[in-house]
Amino acid sequence: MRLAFAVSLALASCAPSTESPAAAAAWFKEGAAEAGLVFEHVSGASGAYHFPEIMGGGVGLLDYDGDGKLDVYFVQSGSLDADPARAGNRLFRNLGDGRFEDCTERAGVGDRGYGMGCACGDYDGDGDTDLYVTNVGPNVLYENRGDGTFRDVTETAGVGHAGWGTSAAFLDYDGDGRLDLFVANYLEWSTEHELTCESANGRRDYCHPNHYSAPAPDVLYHNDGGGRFSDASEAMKISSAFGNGLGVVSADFDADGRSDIFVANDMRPNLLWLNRGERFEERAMLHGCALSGAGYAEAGMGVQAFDLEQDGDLDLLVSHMRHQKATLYRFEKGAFEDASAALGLALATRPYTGFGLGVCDFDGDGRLDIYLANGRVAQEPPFASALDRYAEENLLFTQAQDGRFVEVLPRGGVAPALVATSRGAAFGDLDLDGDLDIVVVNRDGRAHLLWNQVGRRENFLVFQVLERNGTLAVGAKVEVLAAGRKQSRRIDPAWSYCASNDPRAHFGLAGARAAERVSVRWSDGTSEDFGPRDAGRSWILRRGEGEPPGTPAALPVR
Amino acid sequence: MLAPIPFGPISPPGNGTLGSTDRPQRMNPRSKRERSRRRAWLAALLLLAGCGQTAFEPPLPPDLDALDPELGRLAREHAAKVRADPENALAVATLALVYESNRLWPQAQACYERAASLDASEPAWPYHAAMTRMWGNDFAGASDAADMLRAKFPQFAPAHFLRGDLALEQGDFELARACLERAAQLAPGAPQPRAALGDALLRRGDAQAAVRELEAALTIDPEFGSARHLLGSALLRLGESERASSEFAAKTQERPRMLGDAWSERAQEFSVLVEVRVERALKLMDQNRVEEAVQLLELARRTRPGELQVLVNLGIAYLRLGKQEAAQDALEAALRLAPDDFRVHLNLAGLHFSAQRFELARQAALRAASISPAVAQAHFLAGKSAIELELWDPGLASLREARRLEPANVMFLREFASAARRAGQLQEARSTFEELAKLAPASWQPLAELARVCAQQGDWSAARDAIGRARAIAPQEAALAALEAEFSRREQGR
Repeated sequence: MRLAFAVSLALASCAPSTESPAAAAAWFKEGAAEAGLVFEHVSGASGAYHFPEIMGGGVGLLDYDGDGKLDVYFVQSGSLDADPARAGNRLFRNLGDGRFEDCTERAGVGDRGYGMGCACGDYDGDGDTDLYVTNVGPNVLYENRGDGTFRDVTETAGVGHAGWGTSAAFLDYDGDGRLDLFVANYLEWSTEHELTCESANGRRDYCHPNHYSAPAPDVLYHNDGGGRFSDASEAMKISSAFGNGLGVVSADFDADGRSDIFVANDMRPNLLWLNRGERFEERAMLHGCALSGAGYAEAGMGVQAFDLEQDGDLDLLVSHMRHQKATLYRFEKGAFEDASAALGLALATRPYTGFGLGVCDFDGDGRLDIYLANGRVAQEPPFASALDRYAEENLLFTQAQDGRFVEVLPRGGVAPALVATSRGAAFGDLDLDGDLDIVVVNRDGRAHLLWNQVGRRENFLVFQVLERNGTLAVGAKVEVLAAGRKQSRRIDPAWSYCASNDPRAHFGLAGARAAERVSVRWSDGTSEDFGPRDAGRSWILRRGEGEPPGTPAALPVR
Repeated sequence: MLAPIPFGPISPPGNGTLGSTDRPQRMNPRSKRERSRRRAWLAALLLLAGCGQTAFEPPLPPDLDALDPELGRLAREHAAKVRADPENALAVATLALVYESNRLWPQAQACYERAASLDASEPAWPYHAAMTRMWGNDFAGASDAADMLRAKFPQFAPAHFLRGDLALEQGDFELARACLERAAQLAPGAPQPRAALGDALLRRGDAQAAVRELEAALTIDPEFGSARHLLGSALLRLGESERASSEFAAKTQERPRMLGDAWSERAQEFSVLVEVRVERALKLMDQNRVEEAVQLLELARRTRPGELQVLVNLGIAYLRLGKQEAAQDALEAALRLAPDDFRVHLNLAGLHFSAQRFELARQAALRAASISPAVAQAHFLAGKSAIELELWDPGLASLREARRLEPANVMFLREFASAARRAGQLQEARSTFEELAKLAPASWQPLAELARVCAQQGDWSAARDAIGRARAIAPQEAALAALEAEFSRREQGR
């Protein structure tokens, strides 16, 4: 008895620390309902375990009416039956005071296909943002008419590919000033060809993409002008390699002045298409970004390209499924290396299945943070929710001084932590206070609107970067020098998973009151300096209005 | 020729049951004090368990009745054995193995820890306890357990490997290097420590040293996929892109990354998981233990009659045993389940081909190719079948497509060349045999075939040249002597 007592005392003093995480102010506050941003994703799941049911739910942020505020477009899945009454996509107009109103019917963008994602871009160069929707089935192109309404121009444009489209990106791959379009496709799939699969524990569940062994080729459309596109996949050699495409990002990875394309594939090697002018050349394996560091194909979902160390080259973050990790490919000495472990991400993300993601400076400290929208694709205990066996918490990481990422608590940056089957996530400054907010679509659940609570207006510098004709300068890079530190951001809304993001460049200045120098490297490789800019506001940088690089600053004489 | 269908790597294991408190852990660097407290807790737990102050009730998953009935039977059976002999460490560890085999980590961990307390001399029990912690995402706990194990059993290589592997994922590459080096010293015949050490060195920035370790790993196992990829990555770092490219393109197999112990060999012994059974069956087939593979797959079929991967692989296994009827039965069952699954059609094509039902083989292969045009094997089988039916043009077209999809596939090249010769397309046959000779410079056979084709074309000089090249590779080869003699006769006859 005495021994037992003594031992229990010893145990009590040695018990593993159950200290609560340090009480921390949540970085975000969920406020979709209060804001009127009420959208409920419907997968159409009915017990048949049709594969698309576990994959859908995209979102786009775009200023469709040109009032300077980001509106929100939700991509609904609905039902795989051709049911005309099934729920469609929804467009919410940003009223500017933290509220939104559903203007779908007026705008005419309520497509009822089995939606996956969207891409936003001014393909016709008329100054307003058009919308491309990917579906399981024919995709849809909506031309913005500039009067608050859209028109379905899919057939005329020739971009209604009827596969399983996922993420898409507008890019100008041939430098002719017109936005072309790349669409990632997932599988050759149909309800008639659905397979029957079970989870490891013997319960009926969704299949693994490699069960189908039917990866679908991606598509590259060339913008021919006049509202028409032509399929350039064969000519540009894009059709020579493909996997189960889910995530897409376009960027100039080799700094040759041409837009390249990275495709994150699900359980197949990723693809890095380097633009050689007359064709694309696939080089992911030889550039170290096809597989994990140890040589395994991972379940690539969302992707973003960014300059992590501000060393002038582009790095990649790709989200993967549980028991893998979110992989951060850091570009060093001519190739990518899997730096997830070195940067503290490997084990922290291994228990989660990541989809949408954002590498942004949420708190304005001048260092990039990471948000991962998570949700499973298989029922595997332990379950985070008794109601939804696929639900998980999202994750938020901040970058420490040593470059490693540290998880921010409360988990996912919201208290209490949100537990849902998250899919698409889009990032943008919805309330125009300088910092980045997040909209997350949840499978078979309500979308979340996460208002950024931690950024401070005076800490941020925001740029809208435009070509001479006022269209978004897709592919440009903004560089800012503030308090001796250089930062850069790409102008491109197409990243994350099935999402389109704020097209502006956001910089956190860590307390500096201004940037000493702002410059833009345009997509054709030329550069302009725009001089100093005060923090705490948004600026327009238009091609032709800057100075050639190296021009001494004018000295006014008084 | 047939394509066994591995369904991709087994998805890494999952966790216990609903409501488990085993939540993912923060992975921020932890203080020494916190680590010490955790280790003290672990030690006290073991001490308390060893004191026998608490009777060990073998754990059963709370939702056992909802799980596979066979798993329930196994769990109850082995739990009963533990109750009957509660101080028997092996009985407790065997129950742990039932849980580990079926990815029930909390229960496996509890049992292994109990076994460790009963038999402190056996490193396997605390090692597997640490492993189940890791699979349950308790990386910090697994690290501490591995550290204790290394201290207590310094000659036990798997403990050093486990700690090194965790350190790799934690970003502590120096610790990883030290642990994996030790593991490699203790297990010199295993490729995994060398491969993981190569990974650690590469991540530390020492690509040259990484190359040495990875080459050492590949000397032990030339087909170790991860090591081959890592070697390619290391060569890329050193600016040797051409060599890197060869490494990336080399034929490899997937191998277990972890260095296990003898008990690990039994890790899937009690698994009722379909994908595990299929994976085990495929490995048995690789080892030519096809009868055992069939037994395993038939067991899986009884519990999962509608599981496609079971049926297809069962068909393949029966075919390898020459049991055509049983193979057809399994594949037709698969076809009823999944009429548009290319793998079913592909394996049916193989079945028909082996039974010389070439028209049926061709139809099935063409169907597979139409469903999945990127599958080279489908085109290959369609082509071979067509050639057997003397449908030369469509046959060569299909074989050409297979070559296009897999240009380095020697078998495809050889078949195409032979088919071209049979079809009388001698120039194409000749150029393909030349290509084969280049791809396989140590082989005399392509040169012998090349010689035959040249002779058929009446180009005796080229034929003799080819024979000469073949002789240089295999001077004693009787077949070459016979070929030379035949050529002489034919030339004289002219």
